[in-house]
Amino acid sequence: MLAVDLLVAVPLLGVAAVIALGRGSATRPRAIALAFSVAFTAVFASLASAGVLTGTAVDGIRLAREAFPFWTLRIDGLSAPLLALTAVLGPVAVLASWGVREKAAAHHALLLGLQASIAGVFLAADVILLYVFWEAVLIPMYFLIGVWGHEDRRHAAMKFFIYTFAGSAFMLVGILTAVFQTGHTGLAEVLDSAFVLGQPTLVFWLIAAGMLVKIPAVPVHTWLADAHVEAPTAGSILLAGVLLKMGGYGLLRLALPIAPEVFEAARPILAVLGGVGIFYGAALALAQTDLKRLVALSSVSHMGFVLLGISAGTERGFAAAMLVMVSHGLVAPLLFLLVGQLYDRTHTRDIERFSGMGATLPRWATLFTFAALASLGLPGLSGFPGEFLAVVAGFGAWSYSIVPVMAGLVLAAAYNLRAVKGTLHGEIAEEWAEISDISAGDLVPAVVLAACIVALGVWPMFVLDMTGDALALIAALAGGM
Amino acid sequence: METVSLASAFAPHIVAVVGVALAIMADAFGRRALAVFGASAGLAGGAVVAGIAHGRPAAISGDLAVSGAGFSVVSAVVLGLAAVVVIGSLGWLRSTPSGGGLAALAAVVAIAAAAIAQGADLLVLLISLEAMAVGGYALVWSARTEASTEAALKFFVQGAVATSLFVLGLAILFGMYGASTSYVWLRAGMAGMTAPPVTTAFVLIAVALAYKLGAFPFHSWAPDAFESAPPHASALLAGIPKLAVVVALMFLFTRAVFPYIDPTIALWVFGALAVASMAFGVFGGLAQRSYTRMLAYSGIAQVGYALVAPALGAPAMMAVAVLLIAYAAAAAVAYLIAGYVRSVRPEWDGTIAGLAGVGRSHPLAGAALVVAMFSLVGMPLTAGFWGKFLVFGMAVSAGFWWLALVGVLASVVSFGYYGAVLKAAYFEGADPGGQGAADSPAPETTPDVPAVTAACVLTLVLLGIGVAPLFIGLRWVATLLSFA
Repeated sequence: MLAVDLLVAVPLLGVAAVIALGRGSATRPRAIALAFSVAFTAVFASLASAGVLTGTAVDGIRLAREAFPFWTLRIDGLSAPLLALTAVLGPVAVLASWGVREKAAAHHALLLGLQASIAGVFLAADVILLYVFWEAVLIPMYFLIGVWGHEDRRHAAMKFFIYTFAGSAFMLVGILTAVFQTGHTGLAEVLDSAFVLGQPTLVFWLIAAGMLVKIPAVPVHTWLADAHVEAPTAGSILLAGVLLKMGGYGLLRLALPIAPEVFEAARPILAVLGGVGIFYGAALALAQTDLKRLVALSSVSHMGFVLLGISAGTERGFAAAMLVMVSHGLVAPLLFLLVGQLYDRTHTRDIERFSGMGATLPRWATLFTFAALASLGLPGLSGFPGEFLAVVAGFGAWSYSIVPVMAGLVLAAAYNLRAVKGTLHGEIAEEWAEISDISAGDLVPAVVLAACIVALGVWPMFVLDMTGDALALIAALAGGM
Repeated sequence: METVSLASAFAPHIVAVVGVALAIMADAFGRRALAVFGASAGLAGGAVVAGIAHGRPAAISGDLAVSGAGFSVVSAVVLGLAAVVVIGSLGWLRSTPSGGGLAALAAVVAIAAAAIAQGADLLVLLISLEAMAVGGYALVWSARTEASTEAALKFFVQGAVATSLFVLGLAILFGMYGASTSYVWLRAGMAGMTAPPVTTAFVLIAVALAYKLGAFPFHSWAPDAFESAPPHASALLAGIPKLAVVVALMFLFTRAVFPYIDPTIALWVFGALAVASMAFGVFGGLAQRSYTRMLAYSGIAQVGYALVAPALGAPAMMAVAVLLIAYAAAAAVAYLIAGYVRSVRPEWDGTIAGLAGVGRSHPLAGAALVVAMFSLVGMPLTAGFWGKFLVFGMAVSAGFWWLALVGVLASVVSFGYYGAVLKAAYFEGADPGGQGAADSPAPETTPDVPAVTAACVLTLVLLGIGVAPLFIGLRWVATLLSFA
C-alpha cells in the first residue's frame, strides 16, 4: 500500500518544502512543518481502514525484487503502536518548538527529517534498511542538540552521537554477520534462515548491544541525561518519546527472533539490567536538583520496565514492554514539554529556586501534577497498566527475586511527588511572582498528550489489540506462553 | 582472459595525455585558465573513453595492461575525479605562478594513477608509481613555503626508499622466475618454485606499496605532505593514488603472488598493517588541531580499512574499490573546502577550531562538509557507508568478525575528529551577540567559487551513491566493479 511508503515520504517532502519555502522566515517554517506532521498523522489514520489498529500487517509498495533493493517497508502489530506514537508526537514536537525563531527553517527541516528516519526504523522490513534508518536518526538529532540546545550543548551532542554510534557499531557487525551468513537482507528471510548462523551467541549480543545503549540500560545510560538536559524541548520530546523505544523495538524485532535460544539464556541478564535500571534510574532521579535531569533519569527507570517485561520471555511480558513504551512515549514528552515551558519563563531548571508555582502558574501546575501522577503510575492513567503487567510478568518469570523492583516503584512516587512539592508548593518565590501562565497555544500539545494518557490508561486494549498477534508469534519463538 | 590491442588498452591515457600537451602549450603562452581547462578536458575525455571500455570483459593487452570491466571503471573514476578536482583548482592555479604547468602535472599524476590501476606488469607499475610520485612532490612543493619544501623533500626521500624496496622485490621475482615482468609470465614462471624467495619478494613489494599508501608504520611523510601542500593539490593526492595503488596491489597479489605463498602470511601482514593503521590513524587524528593534518591522519585510518581487503583475498576487490572511490571523493571535497575557506577567511590559521561558524556563514560549503565528514565516518545515506559495509561484510563472511569489529570501532573513534569539524562549523560561533564572525567588518575576499562548486558536485555524487542502492540494490556495483 502506498500509504506505508508515504509515512516516510511525507516528512521528507516536508523537509524539502520547509527548506524551499521557509528559508529566511521565522514563522513560515513552523506552519509548513505542522502541516506535514499532521499529514503524517492523517496518513497513519488512513491505514486504520486497512486494519492496522487490529494488528493486520500491511506491506509497502514492492520494488522489483530482481534488483535486490533494500527498500521494503511493512507495518505490523509490533510497529503499529510505535508509529501511532510517532504520529502523535510529530505535531506535538512542532508545536513545542513554536517559539523557535533562530534558524527556524533548519530546525523544522531537521525535526521532519528525524520523524522520517524514526518512521523508517519502525517500518523497515529489511535489516540493511533498518540499520540505515537507525543511523540516519542520529544525524538530525546531533544537529538539533548541538545548534539549538542549552549551555553545554556541544559536549552533549558529541557524547550522544559517539555513545549511540558505538552501540550501533556492534550492531552493524552483528547485522553484517547475519546478512553475509544467511545470504539475505529481507528481515523475514534472514529470520527464516537464521538457523545457519555459525555463532548465534555472538550475533545476538552484538545486535543487543546496539539496542541496550539506545534503551538505555544502566552501565551505558550516561549519554541520556546529558542529551536530554541540553536538547531543545522538541528534541527531548522525540528523544524520550520515540528514540529510546527503538531499543525495545529492536530487541523484539531483530535480536530475539534471530537467536531465540540465546535470548532464552540471556533472559536473566536482561532481567538484572532491567531491575537495576528501574531502581538506579529512580534513585538518580530522586537525587537531582535539575528538574529536566530528573525527568531524563526517570526515563532510565521506566525503560527498565521494558527490559523487565522482555526478560520474562512471555507474551504477557512483551505486551507489558509495549505498553510501557507507548505510555512512557506520552508521559515523558508531556513532562519535557512542561519543563520546557517553565524554562522559557524562568530560564532555570533548578528545583530549589522554584516555589509556589501552583499559585503563579495554575494551568501549568495542573498539567504538571497530572503528568507527575501519570509518571508514578497512578491507576487510570497510562503508566499503570504497563508497569503493573511488567511486574506481574516479571513475577511469573522470576518469582520473588523481583521484589527489589518494588523499591523502584516507591522511589518513582518519591521523586515525582518531590518534583511537584518542590515546584508547586510553598511560598510564592518573589523572583517568579510576575511571570505569566502558559497560553492557550501552549496548552494544545499538552492537552493532546494528556488526553492520550487518560485514553490509554482507561483502555490499554488499544495497544494490546494491535500487538496481540505479532507478540504471540515472537513469544512462540521464545518458547514462552 | 582475452587479449585486446595495446592501443585500445591505453586509449584513456592517450586521450588524457593530449590534454596534458594542450595544457603545457597553453602555459607556454601564459594562458593559465586555458591550460587548466585543457588538462581537465583531457582527463574528462580519458574518463569517458575508459568508461566506454568497461563494457568489455577484463582482458590482458600485450602483457602490459588489463582493460575492460572493473579495471576500466576504476580508471574512469580516477580520471573523472581528477578532472573535477583540476577544474575545482581553477581559482588557485590562475593565481599561482606556473599554474598551467601545475595543472599539467596534476593531470600526469592522475594518468599515472590510472595506469597503476590498469597495469599488469611490474615494470609498468614501477614506472607509473614513479611518474605519480614525481608529480606529487612537485604539487606538494608548489605551496612554496618552507614547510612545503621540507614536506616535499621528506615525501621524495621516503618515496625513493620505497622505490628501492620495490626494485629489490622486482629483481628477486625477475631474476629467479622469468624473462618477463608481466603478471601472466610471472605466474607461469613461479609455478613449481619454492616459497621463500617469493615470500621475500612479496614482503618487499608489500612494504613499498604500504609506503605509497601511507600505511602505518610507513606513514610519516603523509601528515606533513597533506598539511603543507596547497589544499587543492591535497584534494588530488589524498585519495586518487590510494585507490589506484590498492587496486594494483590486490590485482598483483591475488593473481600472481598469493597462490605461491602461505596464505596466512598474507593475512597476517595485511591484517597487522590494517589494524595498526586504523589504530594509529584514528588516535593520531584525535590529537590534531590542524584541519588538513587531521585529514591526513584520518587518511592513514582509511588506508587501514582498505588493507582489510588484501587480507581477505580476491573476492574483496570490489568491496575495497567502492570503499576507496568513496574515500577519494570525500577527501577531495574535504580538502577543496579547505581551499575555499582559505579564500573567504584569509585570516584562517588552518585549525579545526578556526572553522567556527563556517557552516552558518557559507551554507553550501557547510553542506558539502557535512556530507563529506559523514561519508568519511561511514554513515548511511552517504557513499562511505557502502564502502565500509562491503569491506567489513567481506571480513565477517570470511570469518574475521573481529577485524570488522576493530574497523567499525575505529570508525566510532574517528567521529571524534570528523564530528569536531562539524561541531566547529555549526555549533561554535553561533551565539548571537557572541564573538562570532560579525565583530569586525569582513575584509575584501574573492571566494574560491570553482573549489566550492567542484566540492558540491562531488557531494551530490556521494549522496547519490549513498541513497541509490536502497532502491536499486547493489548488483550494478558488482557488475561495474567486476575484476574477473
